[in-house]
Amino acid sequence: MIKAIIWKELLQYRRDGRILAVLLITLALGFAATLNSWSTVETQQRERQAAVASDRATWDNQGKKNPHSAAHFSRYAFQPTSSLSVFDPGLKDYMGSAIWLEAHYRDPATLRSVEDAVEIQRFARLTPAWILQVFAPLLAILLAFAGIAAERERGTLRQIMSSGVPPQHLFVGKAIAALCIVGLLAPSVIAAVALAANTHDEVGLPGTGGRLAGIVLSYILYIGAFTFAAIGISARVAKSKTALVVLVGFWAASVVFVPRLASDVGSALSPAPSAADFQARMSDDASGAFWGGSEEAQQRRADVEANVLKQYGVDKIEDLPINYDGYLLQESEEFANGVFDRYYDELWGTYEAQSDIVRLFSIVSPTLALSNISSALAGSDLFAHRHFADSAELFRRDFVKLLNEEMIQKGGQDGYGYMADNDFWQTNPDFTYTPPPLGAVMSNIWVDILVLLGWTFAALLLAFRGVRFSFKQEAVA
Amino acid sequence: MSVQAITSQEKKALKTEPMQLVLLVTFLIASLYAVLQGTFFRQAQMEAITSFTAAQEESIGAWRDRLIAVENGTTAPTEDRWAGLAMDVTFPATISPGPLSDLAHGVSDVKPAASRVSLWRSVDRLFGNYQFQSPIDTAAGAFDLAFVIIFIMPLLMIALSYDALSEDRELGRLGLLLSQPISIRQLVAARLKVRFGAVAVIVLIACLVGLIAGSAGQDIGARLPFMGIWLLVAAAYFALWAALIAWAISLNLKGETTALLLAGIWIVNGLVGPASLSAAAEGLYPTPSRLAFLSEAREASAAAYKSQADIMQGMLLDHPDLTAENYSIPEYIRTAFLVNKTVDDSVVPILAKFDAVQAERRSFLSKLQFAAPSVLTLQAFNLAAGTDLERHIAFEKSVRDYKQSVAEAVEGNVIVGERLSLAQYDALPRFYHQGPTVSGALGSIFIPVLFLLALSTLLGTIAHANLGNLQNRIREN
Amino acid sequence: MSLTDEFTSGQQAMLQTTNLRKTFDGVVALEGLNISVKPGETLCLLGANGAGKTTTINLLLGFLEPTSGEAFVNGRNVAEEPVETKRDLAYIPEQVALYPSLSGLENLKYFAALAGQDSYSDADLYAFIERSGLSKEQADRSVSAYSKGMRQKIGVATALAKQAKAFLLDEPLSGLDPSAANEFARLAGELRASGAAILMATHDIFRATELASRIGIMKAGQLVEELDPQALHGKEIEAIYLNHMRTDHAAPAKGAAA
Repeated sequence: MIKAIIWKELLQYRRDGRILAVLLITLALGFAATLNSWSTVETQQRERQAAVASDRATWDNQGKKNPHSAAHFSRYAFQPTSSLSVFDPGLKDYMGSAIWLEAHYRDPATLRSVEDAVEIQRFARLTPAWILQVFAPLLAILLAFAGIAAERERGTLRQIMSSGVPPQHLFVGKAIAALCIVGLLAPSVIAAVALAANTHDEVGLPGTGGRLAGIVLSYILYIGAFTFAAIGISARVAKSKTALVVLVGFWAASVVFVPRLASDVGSALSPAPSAADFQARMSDDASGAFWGGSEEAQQRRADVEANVLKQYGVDKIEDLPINYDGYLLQESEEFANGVFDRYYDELWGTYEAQSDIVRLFSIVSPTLALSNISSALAGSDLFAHRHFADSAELFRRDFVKLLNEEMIQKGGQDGYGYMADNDFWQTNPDFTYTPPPLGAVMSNIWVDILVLLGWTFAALLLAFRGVRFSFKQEAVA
Repeated sequence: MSVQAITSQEKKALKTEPMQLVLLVTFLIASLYAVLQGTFFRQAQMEAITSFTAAQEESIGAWRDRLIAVENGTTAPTEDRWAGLAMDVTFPATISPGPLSDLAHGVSDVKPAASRVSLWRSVDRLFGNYQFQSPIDTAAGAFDLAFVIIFIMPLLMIALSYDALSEDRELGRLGLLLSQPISIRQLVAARLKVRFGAVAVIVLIACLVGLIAGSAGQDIGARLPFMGIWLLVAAAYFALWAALIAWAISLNLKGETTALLLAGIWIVNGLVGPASLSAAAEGLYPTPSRLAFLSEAREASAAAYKSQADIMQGMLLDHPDLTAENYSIPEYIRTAFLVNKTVDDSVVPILAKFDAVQAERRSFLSKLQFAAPSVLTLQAFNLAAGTDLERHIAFEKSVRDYKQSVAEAVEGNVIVGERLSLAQYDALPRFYHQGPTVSGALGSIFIPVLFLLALSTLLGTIAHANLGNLQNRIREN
Repeated sequence: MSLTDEFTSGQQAMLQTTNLRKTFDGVVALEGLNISVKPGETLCLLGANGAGKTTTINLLLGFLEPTSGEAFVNGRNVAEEPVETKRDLAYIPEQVALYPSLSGLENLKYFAALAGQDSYSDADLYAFIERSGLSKEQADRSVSAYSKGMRQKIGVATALAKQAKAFLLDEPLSGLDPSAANEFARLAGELRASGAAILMATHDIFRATELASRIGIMKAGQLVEELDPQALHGKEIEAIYLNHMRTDHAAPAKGAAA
């Protein structure tokens, strides 16, 4: 019986030119998006490799230089682009890709792709994930909006009922048929995965298989939610055109309007600090409070001096077996690091509060929940970026300390006049980055997963009860 | 039933039909939200610039005071060898918020708006550490009035009116209506007038509220002409959708098919079109690698540092009038200046390449924008608002040029280690960046608006003819 | 009703209702209905709109649950075995609803499969269609261009494919042109001859007289009279029916609906 329903639905779909057209256009867009995204990721990965190599070469060959001057020049940490970004680049274009690891300062990530984008790029970006998030539900709506309403309008619903078809069978048959057609979009996903495997991801996300499976499952849930909702609405309203208008309205709200509104409300309620203000305050607290002329700063430096003299049991700086300038520099770093932690925790806090507010809106827009899950699993979300930025900051501290130690141990009385050379630079370590394990990623998106599951379940219920309701209504008609 | 009767019936329906009322009220709320968030956005922009400039002026004032003290003998020259240090001159360079940046944020939320022009920074670092906006917010794009008009307005117009003719036909009421002294044209026109009128009124209210709220009483006069231009663009886009919907209605399709057709056009216009065009523009005219640029700048800087002696020598050969004897300030200052100068010279051509690519993209999009009215309208909105990419790119370039001009003016003093005189300082150029002009904005939106209006006229004419033919067909039957 | 008892005494009834009652929100639609149709019989229910004819059919189809009383199909209680009882039933409404983008054959195949008959070959299905009076060529055409009569033939073919034992015909003749109506009458006769039990709701006294083994007159949810068309003249039946209709106007029912 269900087989017959699926057969008939597929036959009708095949004869509906609109569906064929939308399917083909979506597939074409999917392939174009895949190619576009792949070439972007490929380029980013190649550029990163070149930049890492160049950074190393420049560092190794900087010649005679004071270690602290070198710490000012310092090095860069370049965020890798994950292979799965071919499928979903997430927030990648909106977050910086390079962090300067200079002494005395914690920099934000710079070089955001969005700054080189065209104005209209922010309307829509051609990526496989975007195509699926936007067009797959649209296709599902197109397939299912008439599902029950048209049967009723035509009178075939009564005919079906008189054949002894229970409502749940009709629903299952129709849902499977619609999902089969949406499933025809799979080639573009497969292409994305195939191309993703064919990139030069030298970092590699841990648990790629699990991430991929999670992505596939979450998109199935998402498309299922829209399909079920379409059948449910179709069963509840009198006419299929009403179902269409309601569903397209819901789709537009979920896909286009609510995401913008959500992040807008998020940034209004939890505003990021103004850059100039943030920088000025952080610099005052980190640098001014140590190096400045205030009494507090002078006291701080005096304490450092007293401590080190006591530690080495000498009375004068000149008698120290180490270089005091280097020591003071390292002390200032230790002092500043605490300040950086405070400021950046606050900054990330505002972003994360924003992302929580956006998450709240996923109650009215399943697209938000899905895009969170999808970009998190693809390693292109805010969490992935923070993980990278935090790792880079830890490296910066070690690296600057290494340079200061060089001056402390070897600077003697020369201090700023002490010059290290290429032999030293060439022994300095590189920043190696390991992305977070899948478990850590999951712990960030479990709410989104629950919300998406909730959406799918609610839509299932809506459809199930809707179809039953339509049978009851038709019986008395 | 007369035209007046239809009109009054329609007006009543706006207030009594719950669906229409809900849609209109939601739209009103969305529009007002958009302009109010825009108001806060623009205020924040203004405040950021004001406080940035004030902080800069303060530090400039302190620098200048020290110089004055030395010049009029309050401080002995030996006591403050840093006073009047040429290397330390700084000036603020800011771009004023676009006159209507509250209504169309454009790229003003991702592009830097202020720079502390300092000789300590090479031109590639003039805009440092401003990337503190939340990536979530940046990625989602703004919920500004431009978004509301480009995206939500047409969808609302479709939802309100796709059924303007088919509903009567499907209910078999059309014959009855047309037995009254009223033509199909009059019937459709009366209905669309009321429904679209309501939408237009809401947009106008939002614009007016935005104009007043966003001006905070200060620059309302300056904003008014830009508002006029903005409204021209909005009206042309509105006219296009009105004509498009009338045309779709005049095809006399089933209500469901009309809705599908219009939704399809909306999707192509707002999503597929911009996504494809931006992918095409970025794919055809790829920007040079930012990471490679960074590497080159750093390599240039490291190389310059290593060969500073040669550079100095070359400098002295070029300028025999300069002598570097009796050098009273630390060597590293001159080194930094020379290194930055070398870096500047090597990165300027690369930065020009970035600008050239953007110019190519703009010229590409200025031709292809006619393929997607949303693209054309967004660009026109941004132009009228002064938040377009071109203006920001021009700003960045003029800041770089400005830094070069300051560097040239004080070069001699830095090399020789000579104080700037107050007269010399006061004669230094100040940064000035021309804001958008009314005639400029009008000139750049003229053709797009003309195109929108021509297209609407064409569609309107076809719709008019179709409805006439339909009337004849009905009469003949 | 005495007549009914007499007829049911022999063979087992294919369609039967006992004291069937249905109210909608307290409004009586059907009141204590007792009918029975045996294989090879045609019972025509005559009555005005709202007399309870369609409600009776809906109750036999299991679309509605009776307020009290029972409906049986082939000895099975409809309320207890809603799916099984539908296997024996064929339902042909006034307007047979079909999918316009499918051909007649595809529609038949679909509805037969829904009824559990999914093992027919195309040849079998064409045979059902030809028995119901449509040609192969017509069966291969999209039903969007079908006339009402052609649609009904697909309905009959579906019933044949379903191997239905009982037919519920709800105003099958209204809106058919005379030749299509004649053809439908011929088909109904054939079905009856082949042993089907037919319950037909209609306004058409002429066709009822022609087709029925018995005629039941319904008014305000009740079966007010059962007639034997073999024993009476058409004119007499008409007179009795019209008389009932008139008194209907004179003394309005207790509030019939549906």
